[in-house]
Amino acid sequence: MSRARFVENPFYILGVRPSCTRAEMEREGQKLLGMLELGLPVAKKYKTPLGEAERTPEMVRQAMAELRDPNRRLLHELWAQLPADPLPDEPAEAVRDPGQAGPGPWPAAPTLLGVEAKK
Amino acid sequence: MILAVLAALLLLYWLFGRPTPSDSHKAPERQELRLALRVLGWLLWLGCLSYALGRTLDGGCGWLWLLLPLGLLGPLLRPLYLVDDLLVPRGLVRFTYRAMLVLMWWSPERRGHALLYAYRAFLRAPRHRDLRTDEAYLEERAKKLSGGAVSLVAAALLLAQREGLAAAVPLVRCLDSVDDTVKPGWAMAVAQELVLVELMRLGEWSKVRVLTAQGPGSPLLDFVDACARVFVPTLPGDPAGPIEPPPSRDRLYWLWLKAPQKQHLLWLLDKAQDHKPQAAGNAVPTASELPTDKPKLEAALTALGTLWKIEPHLVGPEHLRKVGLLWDAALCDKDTERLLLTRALSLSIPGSEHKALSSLRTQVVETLRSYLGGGQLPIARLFPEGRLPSQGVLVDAVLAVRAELLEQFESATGQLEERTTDQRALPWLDEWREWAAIRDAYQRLEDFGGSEARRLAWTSLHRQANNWACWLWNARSEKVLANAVFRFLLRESLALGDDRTAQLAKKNVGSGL
Repeated sequence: MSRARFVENPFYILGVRPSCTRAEMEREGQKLLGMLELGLPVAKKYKTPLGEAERTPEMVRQAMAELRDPNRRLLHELWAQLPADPLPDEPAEAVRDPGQAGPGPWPAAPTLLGVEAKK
Repeated sequence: MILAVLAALLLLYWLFGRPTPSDSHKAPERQELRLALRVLGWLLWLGCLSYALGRTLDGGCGWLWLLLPLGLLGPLLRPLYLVDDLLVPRGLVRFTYRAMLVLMWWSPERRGHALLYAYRAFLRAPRHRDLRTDEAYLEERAKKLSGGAVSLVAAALLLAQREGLAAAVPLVRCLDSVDDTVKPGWAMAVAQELVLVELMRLGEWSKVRVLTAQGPGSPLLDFVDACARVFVPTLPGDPAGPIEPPPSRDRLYWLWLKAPQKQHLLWLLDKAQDHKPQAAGNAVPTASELPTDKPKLEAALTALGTLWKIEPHLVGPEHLRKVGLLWDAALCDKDTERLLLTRALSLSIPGSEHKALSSLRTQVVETLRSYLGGGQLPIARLFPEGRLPSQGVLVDAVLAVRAELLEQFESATGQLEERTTDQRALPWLDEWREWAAIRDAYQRLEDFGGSEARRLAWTSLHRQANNWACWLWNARSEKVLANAVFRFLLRESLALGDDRTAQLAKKNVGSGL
């Protein structure tokens, strides 16, 4: 399960709760497809616990197809137990790994210090 | 003048009057020759000086003779001045190569020396110049290299340029087991800089601190060492704490001024000057300290979501342990089971809740495994109590990564064994690269799994590497590489307390170069 798959959970894409009925899910999906076709800005973004993400008609169609299969829907329901509100950020001191000190990776170092040729 | 004549006679005696040395003692002989030449140079210089002083005392324009010893002083004190300070900084590739061939005429690896310097000139060449002809020139010369230590560093620089630094560094790391007599200090300093830059690229500042603390000093290394001491005040594994305080802002600025390419090091200077020591992360919660105010599945999802919000390089063992504990609790929780059962019934798929729970567990394990990556977080840090728990999602992820690393290692040694049996020879650089890949796989396994994983891999490594090195020594005359392999095997067998293999390795190392 990658971060992208968590963000692209069908329930978050369609903006419905895991307990919704199939009819509710279909109705919401069709509504979103219509809004996206009209180019309404409100339909182009959706909320997830990791922040806002871009919504496309293709994603909506795929999400509806996923939720039509009850076995796959059951697994998606488990991953969508968190409400779509963004999670709070961890305080910096809690985030830091004591084994990882310093300013983090320096990807440009090999080129800048003349070890790799400049592109 | 008398002294100069005496020195010339001494050299003539050395060249023609001595008995012919045997082949097995070539390296010490060359060192003697270098020493003799240095002494001769200084004697000649003293002769010139005394002659010039004599002419100066005669009066008139005799003082002009003093220019001769003064002019000779530079090459005597710093023989590579021409290359180091004039040719390389200007990116004059071909001049550098030819000058080094002449200056290093005494060295059996003069082509390696020349190519290494020429690559350094190539990397310093101005970008507006068309470098394709220089590149072709270097590649042509690279084909003539032999398999020595300096040639290896030169080849590593070429690899860094072609395939990136990550491809070159394993090759450079193999130099640690090469015999000291064939490792010139300046070439090792270049090799060390390659490793250092790779560590900075990856952001592994603790390892930078360790490396700079043990290496020879250069303005660049001194500056990076000072920055590393700011970021990591205590050497890893040193419980005594910092012996001296980290360098001040002014000291950092002074070292930065002395470092080469300072405009490119400005980022590092800013980071070091603005660095503020931070408190350590939260302690790992025990099972009893886990949050109880919300459903366990929700708590586990929140922990995983929080993990995804953290920059991957900042994720440490504490975070993974916390997520693992929360998911273990959530997956065994009665509420989760009840939720699944209810939802499966309402979706008209009774009985599929077990499959869903199993899929959920597999996906969580896969997520944790992606954070463990290629084994960057060692098991000892994930489970500081010293042993793996009997079950849990994090344990499953750890075992999967260890199995993957072992598989990679065995695949590499298996290929080596096959090639040795078939006696399929590779060019010298490809032999080194194969050895570097095996050592890299072995090191990653050891870093991740500790001594237990090291012992698992050792038997296979010793048998196959030893057979291969014997073949290299006996049939291929790749003696530098074979000796490096024997030395590595000796070091490992001593570290693991394997007396039988240690005796064999000692005998092989004793065969010399």
